[in-house]
Amino acid sequence: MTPFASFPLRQWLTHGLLTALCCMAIAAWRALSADHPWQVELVYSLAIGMTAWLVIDVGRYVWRASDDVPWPAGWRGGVLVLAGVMAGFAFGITLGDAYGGHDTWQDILAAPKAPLGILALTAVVSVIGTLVFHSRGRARAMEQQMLHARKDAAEAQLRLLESQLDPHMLFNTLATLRALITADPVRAVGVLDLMGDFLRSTLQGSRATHHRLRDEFDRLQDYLALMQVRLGSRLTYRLDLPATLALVQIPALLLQPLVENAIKHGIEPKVGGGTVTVIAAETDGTLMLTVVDNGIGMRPAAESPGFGTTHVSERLAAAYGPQASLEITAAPGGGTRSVVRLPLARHDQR
Amino acid sequence: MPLTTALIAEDEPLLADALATELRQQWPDLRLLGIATDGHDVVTKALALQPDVLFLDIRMPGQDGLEAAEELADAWTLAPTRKPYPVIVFVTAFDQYAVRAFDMQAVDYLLKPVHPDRLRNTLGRVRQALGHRDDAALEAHLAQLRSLIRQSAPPDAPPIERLTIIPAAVGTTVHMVPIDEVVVFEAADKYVRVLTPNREYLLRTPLKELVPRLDDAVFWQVHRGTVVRASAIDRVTRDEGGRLWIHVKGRPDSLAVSRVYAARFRSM
Repeated sequence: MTPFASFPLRQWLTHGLLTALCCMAIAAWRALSADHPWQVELVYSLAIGMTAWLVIDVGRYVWRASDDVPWPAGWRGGVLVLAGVMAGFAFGITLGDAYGGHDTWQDILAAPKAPLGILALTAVVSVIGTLVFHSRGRARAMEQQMLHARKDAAEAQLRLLESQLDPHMLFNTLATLRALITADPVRAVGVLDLMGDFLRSTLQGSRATHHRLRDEFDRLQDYLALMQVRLGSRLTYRLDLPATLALVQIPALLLQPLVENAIKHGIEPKVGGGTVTVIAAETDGTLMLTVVDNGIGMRPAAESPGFGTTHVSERLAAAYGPQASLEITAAPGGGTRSVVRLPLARHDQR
Repeated sequence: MPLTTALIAEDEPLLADALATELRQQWPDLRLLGIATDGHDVVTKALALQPDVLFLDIRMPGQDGLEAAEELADAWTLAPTRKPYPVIVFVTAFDQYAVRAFDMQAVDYLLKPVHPDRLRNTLGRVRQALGHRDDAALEAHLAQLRSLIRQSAPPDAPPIERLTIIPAAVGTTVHMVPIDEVVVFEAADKYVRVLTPNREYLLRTPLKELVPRLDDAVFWQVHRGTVVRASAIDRVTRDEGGRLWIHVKGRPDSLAVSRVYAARFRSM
């Protein structure tokens, strides 16, 4: 931890200014109330006060507990304040004496209790000043933390949206649409409608939390139909939803990332393309949602999950805890199989 | 004067047709020889049809556009009777890493959907380049390819960690191979062969993912499927066809050098 790596200069100067003003106010009060020459009082006051401040405000930075907490840990803080008060008193008295020609130290030796008043004043003002600056610093630090947290949240939302609207897919689809407008306008309109539905459900989906399996399959159908416009005969698909499961509630667009991955990483890179199949089934109170493709498959070594798959796992964990799971394996015969398992509530079963 | 010929490599038929239509409108004299639909098909067709201009989609099934360009450059230059190497225009829908790399290398590329104005500008540059297809231009293109291949990182790439010890499974045992013992990495199907002076191991990680984790001053990529420790190279010979072959110290193997990487082995 380098001592003066990121010294908060402005804050320090502000503290210094406030301390100086405080010292001047005290000097003025003392000069008026006790009829002492105000210049002498001013010098004493500033010397004591500024020294105490310097020692405390610089010392706390040098011996700070960490870069996040610019204040010494635990009892060290108290010791520092004490040291500051002492130093301020000693140095300030000496300087004031030099200026005013008075020998306060002799007075102290003669009557040890005499300077207690000044000492007490110094201590009280220093402690109050320290507390005020300290709490201001803490408030500022918390504000920074809040801003950071908000920024992180905004970024996470953006990444989520980006992951749901794969730009590559989006621009390829737009290009396809553009081509169709002159080549086959009727089909172009159909594709435009599909795109509209898909975009609407994706953007809505990130806000709505649950919907029926039937709605989920409808959305997947929209997406697959859209992809088929681009990939032509290289993509075939099959959706299998038994009527008994159609009304089961699941997190909205849960399966979307899995189907996207199947196409993006499985079907698209494969010469000749392939088939994506989505099946819903129920066994022993567990709902099994399977997305399988016969594309180029996962690499032999399992790669670290991408943002999409992690997102699915997180949503499952948040909604169902350890009872739900996502399992991605190689499909027999080539390709990839992703299986989502989640518990069926009793009223879902018919 | 013979007409200028072109080949389009694009796996989505609608987009290929759209580009073809646009080209017909803007350059009626350009003769379209065909459309290739994947990364291997484009190399086969380009070698057979020998177009003057090649519109190359960078994301295709089989192998991607950059790999295809490297394979093409390698095979093309080995036959001296071939026509001059085609002018290549890369085409992409949205690939932020590729686009950034293209901009840095001043490589010409088209964005999908293809706008007529942008296409017009690109075609102007293509016509100019067609008149300057000499060895210097080819070398410049190869240098660009080398940089593009090195730079294009996959979108969710983990942070680069230098390889020091390689865990390689042989049956049920895992051998920890220090990187200092490795002389060659060679891609073989879905695996990578790791060669030390006396032994050979198989890794499941694709070569493309290993390369960024190697020190490129120590390990040289000499082919899209081969990386060699420079200090282990004994000598480099040229065969009758003009291809360079690397002979590795202590091993009987000779490794083919791809045209894209041959510049390194020119005598000083």
